[in-house]
Formats: sequence, C-alpha cells, structure tokens
Amino acid sequence: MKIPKFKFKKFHINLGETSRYIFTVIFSSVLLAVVLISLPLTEKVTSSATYDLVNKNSLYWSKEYTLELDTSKSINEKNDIEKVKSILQKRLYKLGVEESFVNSFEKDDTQYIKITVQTTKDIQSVDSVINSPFIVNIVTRKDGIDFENQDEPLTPYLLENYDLTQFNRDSFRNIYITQLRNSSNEYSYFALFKTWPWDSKWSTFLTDNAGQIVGVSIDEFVTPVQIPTDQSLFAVPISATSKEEASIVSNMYNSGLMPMGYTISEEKNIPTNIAEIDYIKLTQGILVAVILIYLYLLLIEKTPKKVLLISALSTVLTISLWITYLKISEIPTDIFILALEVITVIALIRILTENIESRMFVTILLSLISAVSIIFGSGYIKIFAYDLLILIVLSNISIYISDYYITNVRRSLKI
Amino acid sequence: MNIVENITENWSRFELNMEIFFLLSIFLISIFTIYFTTKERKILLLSIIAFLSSAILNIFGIFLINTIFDVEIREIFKVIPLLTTILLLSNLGIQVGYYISKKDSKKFKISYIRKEYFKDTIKQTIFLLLLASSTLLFLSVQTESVVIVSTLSTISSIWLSYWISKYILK
Repeated sequence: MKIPKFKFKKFHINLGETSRYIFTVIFSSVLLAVVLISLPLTEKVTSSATYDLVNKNSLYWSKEYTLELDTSKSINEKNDIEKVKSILQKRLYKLGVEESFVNSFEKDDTQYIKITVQTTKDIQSVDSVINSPFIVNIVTRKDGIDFENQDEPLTPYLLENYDLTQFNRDSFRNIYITQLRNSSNEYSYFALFKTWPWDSKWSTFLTDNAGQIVGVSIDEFVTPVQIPTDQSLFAVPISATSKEEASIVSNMYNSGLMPMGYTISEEKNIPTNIAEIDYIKLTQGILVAVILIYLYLLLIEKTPKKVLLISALSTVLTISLWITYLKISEIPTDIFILALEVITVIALIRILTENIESRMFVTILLSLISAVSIIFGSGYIKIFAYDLLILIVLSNISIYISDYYITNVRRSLKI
Repeated sequence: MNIVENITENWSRFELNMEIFFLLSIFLISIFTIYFTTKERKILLLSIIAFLSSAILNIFGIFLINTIFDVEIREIFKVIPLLTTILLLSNLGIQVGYYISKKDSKKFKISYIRKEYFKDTIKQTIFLLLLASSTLLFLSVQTESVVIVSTLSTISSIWLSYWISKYILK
C-alpha cells in the first residue's frame, strides 16, 4: 500500500519515511531496554523495579518413599510388581514431577518398591498419589446386615459388609471427574464411571440394582452410591473441594488397576541433586560465544554481511525477549534448561536466517516435534519442549523484525 | 543390547514404553514430513540413515559418559535425543529447502544437493563446536554431558550422512 505524501507550502512530509523512522527509533529503544533487562544484575541499578530471574533450584525438594508390597494374593508376582511400578510412575508423570525413579527390591522374603522423587510440585499432591494404592472395586450390600443401625455408624463404609462384584477399575473405559449438583443443590465433585458402548454387563448390573444402594470400595473404604431408577448415571461423590484436588483424584482413578496393595514402610527427605549453574557466568559465556561465532562467520566471508547481521540481531532479540519475559513474569526457571534452550535457539536462528528456502519447513517440523514432546514427553522434556515452541515462534518474529529494522537503518544511513 | 540395558536399568515398563513411543513418534513425524515435502526417496533414505546413526551415537555417548567419566544418568539425559533431533533436522532442513527450491529448474541434478550440503555442514560443524565449547566452562557436569553428547552425535551423524550421500545422491 502506498502511503500518501502531504504537501505543505514550505515543506513535504513523507508519511512512509516518517513511520519507518519512528519504527526504527522505537525498535532501537525497545531492543536496548530488553537487552538491559535480560542482562544479569541490571535489576540492581534501579530500586523502582524488581525483575531478577527466579531460579527454580530453591523450590526443589526430594524425598524417598519405601513401599512394602502385599504379594500374598499375587499369582504372577514379578509381573504384578512391574505393574505397580508402572502405575506409580504414570501417576507421577501425570502430576508433572520433574524427576522420579521407581525401583523394586527384595529383603527378607518381602518385596519392596523404592520411589525417589525430586520436584517443585506440591509435596501433598505427590504424597497423595504415592501413599494410596487406590484399588477400586464395585460392591453390593451383604444380606442380613443392618446398614441403618445408629449404634454402628461405620457399617456402610466397611468392605467386610459388602460382596465383591465382577467390576473393578478395568471394567471401565474412563472415570471422568466433574462438578454436579448434590442433594443440597450445590455443586460438588463426582466421579462418573464410563464403560465401552458395547459392554452390556454393566448396564445389566445397573438395571438389576436400579434404585438400590451399592458401593464403590477404594482401598477397602466403601462409598455408598444409590443407582438412579432410570440407570442414567453412575456418579460417585469424591472428597475434593478444589480443582487441584479433583485433578489428583482423576489421576488416581485413571492410572490403571493396581494389582496388589501396599503400605508405606519408610518416608524420608533426602538432599536435592540439582545441576547448579551460575547464570551470570553463563550469560557472559554465551555473549562471548555469540560474538566470537559471528566474528568468525564474518571473517570467513561465506555468508553475506546483511544475513549475518540479521542473524546476530535476531539471536540477541529472541534471547533477550525470552529472558526479559521470564524475569518480569517471575516464572521460576531451571537455569540448566534455559542454557540448553539458548544453545538451541542460537543454532536454529542461524539456519533460519541463512536458508530462507528451508525456513518454513524447519519451523513447521520443529513446531510439530515440540508439540509431540509436550504431549508425550515427561519431566524436563515437557518443560524444554514447551519453551522451545514459544522460542520457535519468537525466533521467526524476531527474524522478520530484524530484517525490516536493518533495511530501514541502512536506508536511513544510506549504506 | 547390553549398552541399552545398562542405560535403562531400573526403568519401569511404563517409562520404557513411553520413551520408545515418544522417540518413535518424533522419528516417524520427521521422516514422513521429509518424504511428503520432497517426494524423493533418496533424501528420505539419507534422512533415515542420519536419524539412525544419531540414535546409535546418542546411546553410545550416554554409555561412555556413564562408564568412563562416571557421570550419573539422570532425567535431564532424556533431553539428548530431542536436542539431537532438533540440531539434526536444522541441518537436514537445508537439504530439503534447497531441493524444494531447485528441483523444478531445468539444470538441476540431485547430486547438486551434496555441494550445498557440504558448505552448510562445514559451517554448522564449526558453529556447533564453538557454541558448545563456549558454554562448557559454565555448565554443571550433567548439563555439559547433555550438550557434548548431543553436539557430537549431531556433527558425527551429519558427516556420516554426507559421506554416504556420495553413494545415494548420484
């Protein structure tokens, strides 16, 4: 679009040139500001703002849990122990725990599992997913037991008063946690048991017990549930008051059928083992590396100067913007992951700038890989991939802005 | 096989399955995207060789770090295959981009890719070596190991695939 030129009696204003000039000035100021903010220790210059990088190291805690397994009812012990390990690991992965090791061992003819966790996640959430085996069974009331007896208030909650049915966690496709209105007409969390559409056994069970009270046993504690007369929904009230608690219950319900019970035999805090990195020195090192690398590329004259300039400016802009964002938003950061991200971005921007024909292909493919890593990855991979996806977008934007900026500066300076 | 068992010692079945599924997904997505973008079997073959060699070098590198340098293998090591894939794809992307932009020109021959690939591989090798070595002094042993294994695996596999391209891209 051509921007009109306004003619006055004594002087001309070229709006296109003026806007380009204003952009150049604003961009230079923003660039300077983000570089200054991203550099270490610059927050000490002013007392009006605090924006230091929040190091995640101090938020880590580490704990070791030893579980004593009840293998008395196990037919294939080795296989069942492996299954317990997998379920526990799955729960920890779903919770987003950064590091977890699950090992099994035998001592005095007793099987144990040792879990070592190192994370920044809430300690109570981690305790919840490990402490309970969460063995789910659907049960029906035994005949001849008075469940309404006021003198025995625990009767409805004890497994010994119920008969086991053929239904356990494996009988259901999914257990969905959602908020529904309870008997007091207030919203509370319920677990909805969903089966496969072709599974007729469950619908037969619901029809046979319509209007009756059955129970859901979790680790031998029974929650009584009345099946509606229209058998529309099997909703079990859960003891969660917040979204986070509901998410943990969902995690426990949907991590698989625990093949055996266990008890916690030991639980102890252990020292954390975090990769300590001095981010001030790291910034200096990376800064020196970027300067040296680009000086070298300039000296060997294999790349046009303008391309090198765009590449260097985009690198500085992307990294500065990213660190500035982390500092201002006070997001706790793993410095060693930040180091890996910076190395990746420096290498990526050079490729994207020097090979325009590959830019689209590399961007799309790496974005796809980052997305897959976010979905299927665990621990640090998830954190790295999530940041990388943002950095890929940021790098591309920085390249376009840098290109436009350098073209404007060269035009202004008539280079 | 012993090397793999040594690295994955004490892993749960779930952890092992997830890792295999994750790495296979990345490999298949990369390979399919390269093939559907170029429709050229020679580039596909070269990419598969590059990926497989980098995977072997990753495993070998982690094993060496663990046994010779006695560095404890921790969760952060799982980033190595992802980092290697990203660096490797940036290099393979040059080939793909060059092929897409030149394939329709009359004088284009598939062997021309080698020439372009050679220039970029030299630049990337020096670039990665400088970048990795400049950060080594400031990183922890574990992060250093991740950077070294990823960088060296990438560089070795891109040179290996360049050498093999002599027989494939002709």
